[in-house]
Amino acid sequence: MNGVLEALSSPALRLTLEVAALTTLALMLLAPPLAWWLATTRSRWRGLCEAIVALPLVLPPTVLGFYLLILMNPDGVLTRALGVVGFDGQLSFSRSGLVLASILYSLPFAVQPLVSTFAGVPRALLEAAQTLGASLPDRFISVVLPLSRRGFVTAATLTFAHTVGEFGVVLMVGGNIPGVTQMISVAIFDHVEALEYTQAHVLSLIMLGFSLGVLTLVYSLQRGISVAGDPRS
Amino acid sequence: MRATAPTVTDRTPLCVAGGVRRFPPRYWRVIGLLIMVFGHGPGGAQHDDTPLRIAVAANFAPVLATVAERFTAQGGHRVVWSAAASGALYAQIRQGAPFDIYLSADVMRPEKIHAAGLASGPVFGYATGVLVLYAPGQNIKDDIAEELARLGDGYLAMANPRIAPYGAAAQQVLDQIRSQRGELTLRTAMGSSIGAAFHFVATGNASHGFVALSQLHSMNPPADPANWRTVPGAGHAPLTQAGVVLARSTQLRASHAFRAFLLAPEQQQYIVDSGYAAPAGDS
Repeated sequence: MNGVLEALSSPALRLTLEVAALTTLALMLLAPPLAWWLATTRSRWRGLCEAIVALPLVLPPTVLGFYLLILMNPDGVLTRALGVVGFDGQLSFSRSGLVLASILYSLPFAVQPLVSTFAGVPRALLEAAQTLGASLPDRFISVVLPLSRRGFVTAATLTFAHTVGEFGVVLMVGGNIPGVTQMISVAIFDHVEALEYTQAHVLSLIMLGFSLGVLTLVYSLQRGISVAGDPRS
Repeated sequence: MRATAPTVTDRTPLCVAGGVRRFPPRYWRVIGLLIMVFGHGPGGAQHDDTPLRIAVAANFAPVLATVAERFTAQGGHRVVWSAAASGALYAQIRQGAPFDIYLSADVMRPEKIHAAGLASGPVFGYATGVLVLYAPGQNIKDDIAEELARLGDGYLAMANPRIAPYGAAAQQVLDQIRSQRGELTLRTAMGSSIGAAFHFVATGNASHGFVALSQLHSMNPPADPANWRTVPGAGHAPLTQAGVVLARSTQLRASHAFRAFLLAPEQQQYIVDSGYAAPAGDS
């Protein structure tokens, strides 16, 4: 029973939720403009950009982790780039670094659902709004957003869930500091390695239940089945 | 595997009216031939040439590669190995993974295998790790405690003490320094293995790191001697790496032959040259 309580009071649980929430928030601000551009552009760079966005889906997390480890050291390109805007400190082994890594790692999970939902917004409606004098931000807020609500929920849920399940990247750039960078997946890894199977079971079961719940929610939304809190869908 | 070709031929008349007709008999002969050739492994040798399968702690894998090569060259079995964290390999072996030999980075796990009745023969020590403090590009002080005291804002990388023997040794060194000199404020980054700890230092994310001497030996070019100091062995429990032959092995004789080969003076000298101390011997 001690093992169960220890696992449940693990700071890794809270930290994981925090990092996932921050990542989701950041991506819900960054992803829509990118997704809108990808859904509407006729640029010949579109294919390349879509490929770059999709890279984290196919690259081993170790590749991303390895590059980030190099870019995030105190003299690294990313650290210096953020220093220009006033960031002071080291990215690797810090929560900011973890959120930044998660944003890159979860990018396709935010962008791809938005691209497909934006592509389904009828152009005629937008043109009608334009002829009625609506500005671009106005058109986005009053036409696109209401029509793509489901896409946003899907994108946010998948981003959150994918970040919660992050392992390889965190293992490589996190430094496994309890309460700062030790996320739940790494905590499970540690418990298994240390032969603490009870704690590993508890945390794994939480992850299993959580992931199943999230995916059920996402697929129900996609099928248009009514889900609590979204009576109109 | 040899039975495959006749089986196909036997069944052919039954399906003549069906799809098999579409493929000429030659097709089945080619398939059968391919199965016989590839299903039997290269060479198609008469004697049993199933390789020895060794589960090895990641830190020892580069050394094992050479030892295994020599073993095969001197008439022994072919050797294939899986390198991973000792704990991961332990979990796999407890779940029935088909290994012949387990070379752990500690003594505790092989002893647990032994106690569970899964070992053939005794637990044997095959190498003793050497802990070093490494700081690339810095003239490091002889006294480990003084060097750590001037670490300042930088990170100290080490392996996770809960899961990696080198991490536990590093933690003991830190505890001892703290008990002797009082407060020592450090920012530590934990690698999941001694390998991860090394990468943290090598990529400049941590200025100092407790790493293994064998890692510095395998660097190319070798690390500048001014950048590292051996941590006195008295400061921590010995980093004995032990192994066991697994009872479920289908090749016990070959497995024990490999154990003897690994512990013979010639290979032991090579292990010491690779950055390990002489092993404590059978435990």
